[in-house]
Amino acid sequence: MFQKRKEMETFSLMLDKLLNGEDLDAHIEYLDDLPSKIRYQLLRLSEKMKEIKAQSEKERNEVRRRIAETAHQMRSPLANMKSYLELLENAESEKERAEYTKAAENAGEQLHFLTEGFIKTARLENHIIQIRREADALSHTIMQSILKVKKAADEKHIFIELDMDEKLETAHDANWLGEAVYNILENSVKYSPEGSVIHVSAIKNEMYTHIAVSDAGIGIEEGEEGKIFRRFYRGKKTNGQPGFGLGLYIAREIVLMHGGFVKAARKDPGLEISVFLP
Amino acid sequence: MKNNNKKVIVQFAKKQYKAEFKRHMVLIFAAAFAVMTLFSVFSFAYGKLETDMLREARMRGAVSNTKLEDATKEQYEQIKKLHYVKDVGKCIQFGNLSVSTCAVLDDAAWEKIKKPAFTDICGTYPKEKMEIMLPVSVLDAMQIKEPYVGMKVHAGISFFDENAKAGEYDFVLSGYYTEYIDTVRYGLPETYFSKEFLDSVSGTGYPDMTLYIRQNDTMSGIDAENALYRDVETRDVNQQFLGYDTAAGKAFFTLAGGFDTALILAVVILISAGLLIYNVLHISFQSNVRGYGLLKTIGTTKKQLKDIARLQIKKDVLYGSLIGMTAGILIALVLIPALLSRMYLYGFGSAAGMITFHPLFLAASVIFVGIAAYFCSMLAVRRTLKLTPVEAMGYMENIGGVNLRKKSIRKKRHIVSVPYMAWRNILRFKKRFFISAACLSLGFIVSLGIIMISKGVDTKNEIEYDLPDISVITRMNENFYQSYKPCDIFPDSLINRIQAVCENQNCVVERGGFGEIAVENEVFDPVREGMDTSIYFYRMPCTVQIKSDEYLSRLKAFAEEQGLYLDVDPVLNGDGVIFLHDHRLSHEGIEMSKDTIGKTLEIYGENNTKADMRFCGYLDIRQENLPDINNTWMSGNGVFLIVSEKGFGNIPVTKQNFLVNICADADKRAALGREVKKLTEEYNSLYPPDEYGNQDFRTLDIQLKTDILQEMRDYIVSNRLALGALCAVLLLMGIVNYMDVEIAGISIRKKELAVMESIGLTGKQLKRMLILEGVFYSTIITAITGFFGGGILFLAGRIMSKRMDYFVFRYPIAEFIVCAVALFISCAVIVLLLYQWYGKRSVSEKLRMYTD
Amino acid sequence: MDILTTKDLKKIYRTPSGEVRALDGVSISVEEGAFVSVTGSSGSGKTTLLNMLGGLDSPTEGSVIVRGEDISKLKNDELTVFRRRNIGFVFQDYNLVPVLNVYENIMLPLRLDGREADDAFIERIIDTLKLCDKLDSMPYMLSGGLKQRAAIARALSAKPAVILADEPTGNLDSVTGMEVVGLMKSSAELFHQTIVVVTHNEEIAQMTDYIIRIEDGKVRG
Repeated sequence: MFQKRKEMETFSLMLDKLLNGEDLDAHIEYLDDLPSKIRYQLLRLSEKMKEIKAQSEKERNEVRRRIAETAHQMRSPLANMKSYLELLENAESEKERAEYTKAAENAGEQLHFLTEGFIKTARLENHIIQIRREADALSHTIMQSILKVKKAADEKHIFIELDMDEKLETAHDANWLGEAVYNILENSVKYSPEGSVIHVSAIKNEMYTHIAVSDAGIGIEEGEEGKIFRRFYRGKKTNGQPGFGLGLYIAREIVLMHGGFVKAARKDPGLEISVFLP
Repeated sequence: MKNNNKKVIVQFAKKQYKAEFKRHMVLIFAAAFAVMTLFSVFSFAYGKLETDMLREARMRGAVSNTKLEDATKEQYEQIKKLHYVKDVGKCIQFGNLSVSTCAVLDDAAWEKIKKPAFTDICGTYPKEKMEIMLPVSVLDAMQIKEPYVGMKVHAGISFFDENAKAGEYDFVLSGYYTEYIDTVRYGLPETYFSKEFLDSVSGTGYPDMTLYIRQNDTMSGIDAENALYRDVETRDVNQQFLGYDTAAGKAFFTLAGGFDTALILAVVILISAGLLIYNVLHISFQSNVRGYGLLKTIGTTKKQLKDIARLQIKKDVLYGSLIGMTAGILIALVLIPALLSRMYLYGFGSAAGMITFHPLFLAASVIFVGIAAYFCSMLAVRRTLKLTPVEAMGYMENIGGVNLRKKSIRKKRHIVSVPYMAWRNILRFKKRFFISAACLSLGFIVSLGIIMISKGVDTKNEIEYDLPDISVITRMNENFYQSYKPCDIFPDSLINRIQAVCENQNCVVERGGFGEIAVENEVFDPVREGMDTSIYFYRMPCTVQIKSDEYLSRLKAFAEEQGLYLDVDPVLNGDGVIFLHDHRLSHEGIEMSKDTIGKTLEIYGENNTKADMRFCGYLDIRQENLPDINNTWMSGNGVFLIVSEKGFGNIPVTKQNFLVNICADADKRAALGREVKKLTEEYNSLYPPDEYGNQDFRTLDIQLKTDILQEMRDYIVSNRLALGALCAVLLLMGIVNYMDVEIAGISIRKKELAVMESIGLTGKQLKRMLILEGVFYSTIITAITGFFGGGILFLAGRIMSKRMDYFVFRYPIAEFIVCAVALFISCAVIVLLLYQWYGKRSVSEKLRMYTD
Repeated sequence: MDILTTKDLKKIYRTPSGEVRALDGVSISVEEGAFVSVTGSSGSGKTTLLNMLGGLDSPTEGSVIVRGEDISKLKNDELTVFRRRNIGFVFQDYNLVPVLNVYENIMLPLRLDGREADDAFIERIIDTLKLCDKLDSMPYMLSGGLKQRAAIARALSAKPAVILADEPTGNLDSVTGMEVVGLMKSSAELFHQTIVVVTHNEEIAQMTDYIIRIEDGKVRG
């Protein structure tokens, strides 16, 4: 009886600590009785609370960072625009006026592209966008993405090969997945040399549908396989190429929302990016 | 405060139980079998004990005949207080009525000692002066066919005390009873009187009081006798304690050769049952090791695992006990009484009223099995728990657990063949093999032991040993002779006719005569008190029997060997006599007898002729291992002398024939018996009984061994049946153990066999391998039984021979061979059956089913 | 923070033919949330290391610290309860209790502790692992891949901090194997757990955050 009361008092103390945001003594005994179990559960609760706190801290930091980054990223095109508009004001020749206008337009495009990307990302991250998965012919979706990127590919004389069963169906959101595939393709095209081939395949397994995009481009360094999917990450080998490092990130988020995952594998030469859809 | 995780354990145990029900069937069967056999065996043994006890008591006419004659009141009080004395009763015998002895009993003697030996008791023990209680056999002899309580009985009594007047009286029947007394060994039945009557007719004081003592049943007669001598002072040199096993004691002795052997037997049976349970459980748990290992990995504590095991074993014991109990009860209520009463008490009344169902035994069996099962299962679980989860999960049952700490490297390489595999398979699990082999061998050896003992002990042996096939013997002793002399008590003519009938058979005639001796002679000091000097003042009749020189020489050697106080040489020379008595010397008396040797004893014949002989000592006819004397009747307290042929020539006593013993060939026994019986009865018709129904002592008594054997036959047969059943039970337990081991073994080996089959082991080869396993196993068992068993049996035989001089040791070869053959057959058959049961599915199915 | 640490871990077996040093001074640490693989050739000691981490076997020397607790110091039953609450196991074979169906198998660790299941969570696991229509099946009815998925579900169900897997794809074909590991990876990400996988398959090892290589009982490189 006395023992029980003491135990209860200890638990009350622990709960108070939790409420006050203090740390619990991490050392507990592992016995197969009720008090030991409760202590363990309290410890887990404390950890969870800490985790939530840390998570929200992280998110807040993220937001702050993002704002900073965004601002930073936008600064360039904005500055450009400002410069060119100023120049436009002082332009004397028609030719100069056209040149400067074009430049300003470009900057505007860039800004547009950036903000669109940001919005998309934000919406994705906040789960505002719903991914609606319907069993559909995957070939259709992939074809669409290929078509979208064809123009850029053709410019570099890059041939895109599609190898898959036409009738292959899998549950997916055609729009979003299409975007993801497009992003990946775009990436491949951007970093592939002229005249190379990009190989696209899709296979359905017992558990997954595996979409693979292989290119013979510049590839990535060892150890970067996980990192390239991070936001704003630009591979070490990409110096000189335009890009923000968002495309693969968005693609990954989309795939994750489908319940699948992405994987990058270095090839010699080039890179293969796989999408696994459940 | 315990964690609230009980439910999952209970549910898991239930699920596992259901899923593995086949395995549990084996356990349940083992438990049921154990309960059933334990209960049946002990019930039966107890029942047999009770029946034997009844039988013995009825035969004796008393529950115990350890007694003290001529006892005093003080001695009575003393004896009553002794801790090993259960009951003491007073009995006074004072005369004869028809073919019974007149006696008065006190309450204890009647209620505790005599009454249980009688059946169909009507009425009560006499209370009023003229009330009497008669045995039905005596009423029959008196031509009273339909007695009833209260009827008038007119009878004549002759008294031992010669001062009391023999006479006829009118009595009232207060009761009557049926007795089964063996009159040859234990004397005439008794008619009971009230104390008042005795008081009224007794002349010069009380006839001597005999105390009937019932010692604790576990105490043998000899031990009781010695203890009584030690604890109670005898009045004088001549007063004797006569100790005998109680009826219960004797029954125990007959059943198992003694309390100690019975205990050993009981322990062996319990061990057998325990081994059976242990083995079965052990095997059952082996297949669970990996499962427990996995559970432990997931997070099941030791206690939880133990609980799971406990819950399941409870169920097994419960179901097993229920089944065992039902079977056992059926046996107890139906089979056992049938066996016991129909056969055992044949000729000794019925077993009506004897309860053969003892709930106590049932409860004890269930409890024993429960405890054994619980204990063994905890042992088995413990072994599992000792392993770390890694070891447990890596536990490969087929190899019997690879303990990484003890890697043994097999050095030799063998050619792998079917016989080789069979051999390795048997030895695969050393411990399991040894235990089940031990169980089976134990059962085998004990069974053989029981057979050997029972055969050696068999009453048949007793009879074979003790009695000749045909015996015609005079009823006369020296006292009765006085009434009939002079007469030829057993004419030569009859002897010749008998011998003529039994030509070529072994006939022995014992001869002697009746003379007189002087009472005052100092040689009789050791037995003086017992001598009936009320009638005989100066001279007393005596019986003198002649023994051959050949016998006397044997006796001489025997006396020297045993260190008896006997001087046989003068007897051989023709001038000595030996006093033969029935255990009449007290311990002091034996010492005193030393001094009597060498003294002169006058023997008187007719017409005051006499001869001086040398007294050569006392010989107790009950001396252990004494060569058979073939004596004629010994009167209770009379003088019985032994002389040589030469010696008899020196004394002036008329030679008489006493008896003729015939040992006939087995095939002629029955016929000759009938012939001689006819002759004897013809002769006896010359001397019919008198008007009171008292017999004439000139008649001859004939005893045919075949008649006795006939009576005994049923007893012997059922005895053998019972013991045979017991042996079968023991053997069965061993075989069931083996069967369980094999069943469990097969279920474990399914996977391995499936793999072998897929590699290419044909069904035929598999059969061969399994049969060979059975054969190897049986061979090993037979070898063990042969060697160890032989030694043990031999030892046991020696011990038994020492205890009972009529014990015959013979190694039960026939039974051994029969059992061995049965063993071989059952081992092989069991294995084949199991193979059938295993083999029906396709290989891939089997592989799939039996792999994880 | 580091959720798994070993300090100079040694496991030595004595055999008639001499000493076998399965682990010869291994010191590693794994941070929370990581997906780590342990590779090495056969007999290198990687399984032994995993067994040490999970308290399935006791070290000859050195210590193993899980979630701040030195498990080499815990007694038998304490260790068992610790395992129950903090570690989930997936083995190469024989993972499921044969007498229970798939659902019961998954729930077993929780039930052993008398704890309530997070139904939504369990459903999510079952969904992710595609076990919905196999919940009533008994283990012997399932294929290897299904059994492993069920094993993973069980390992996840009690939300342990650490999941240890010993050659979980050993008995599976390469495609199924990849799927299983992929599943573990996404599950780990979704449910924020630390996973240590022992494998000799390089492809699988590549899918993890980083690789610990063991050779002759020691960490290489």
